[in-house]
Amino acid sequence: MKISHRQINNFLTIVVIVGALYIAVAPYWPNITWLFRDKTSSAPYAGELRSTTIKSGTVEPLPKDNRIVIPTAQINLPILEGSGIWVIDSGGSWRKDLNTTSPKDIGNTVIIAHRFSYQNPSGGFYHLDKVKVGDKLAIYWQGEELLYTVAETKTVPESATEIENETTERTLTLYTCTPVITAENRLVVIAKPVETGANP
Amino acid sequence: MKRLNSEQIRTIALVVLIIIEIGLLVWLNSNTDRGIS
Repeated sequence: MKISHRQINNFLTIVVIVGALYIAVAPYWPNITWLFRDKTSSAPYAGELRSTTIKSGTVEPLPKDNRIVIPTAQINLPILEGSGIWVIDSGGSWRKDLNTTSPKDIGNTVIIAHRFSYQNPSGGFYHLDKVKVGDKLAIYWQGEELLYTVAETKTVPESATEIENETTERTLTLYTCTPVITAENRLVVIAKPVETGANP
Repeated sequence: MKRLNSEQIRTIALVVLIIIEIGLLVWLNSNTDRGIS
């Protein structure tokens, strides 16, 4: 079968159109799918966080691995550790363990995840911008649930390394890149622990 | 010199567009989260 020049051109035209569509739409695709997501489900794990959110769906026991769960942003990610951001290239979030503390200790625990890349358009913290002050979230750490309330959300330039500074009380700092297609700024969420028994 | 026909010119234009798209994709990706630290 002889392939004509016109057929080759038609194929190349399709490649150009699909490529252009991907470049234009991919950064916003997770926000489009967000519109059609079921956002009524609560934290999937039995525990304090679940009692503060809508009760529906299947309840699972507390996870054995280390995880971060933010129901309002539908985030449920493993927390990985390692010497660099490369540990989350295939997904999850990364606790900066070189100069930040463990979630159980007094100090600043810093957890980071990607927002967007063309290899993985829906990065772990893509929807971090949907987290608002007062929202509840949990860190599941070594089989224990550590509950937090969001105290502050802000955008800072990428040079604002002070967000990783040590603190005198237990603090959780989450951050990712913003706006979506650049690494120009950092979207930061700062949360404070909720003492057990003080939850609504 | 042999003149290119319209289909050949179209092929060249499409290949150039594909190369530009690949370059744009690589450049945009280098501007995203890869730089987070």
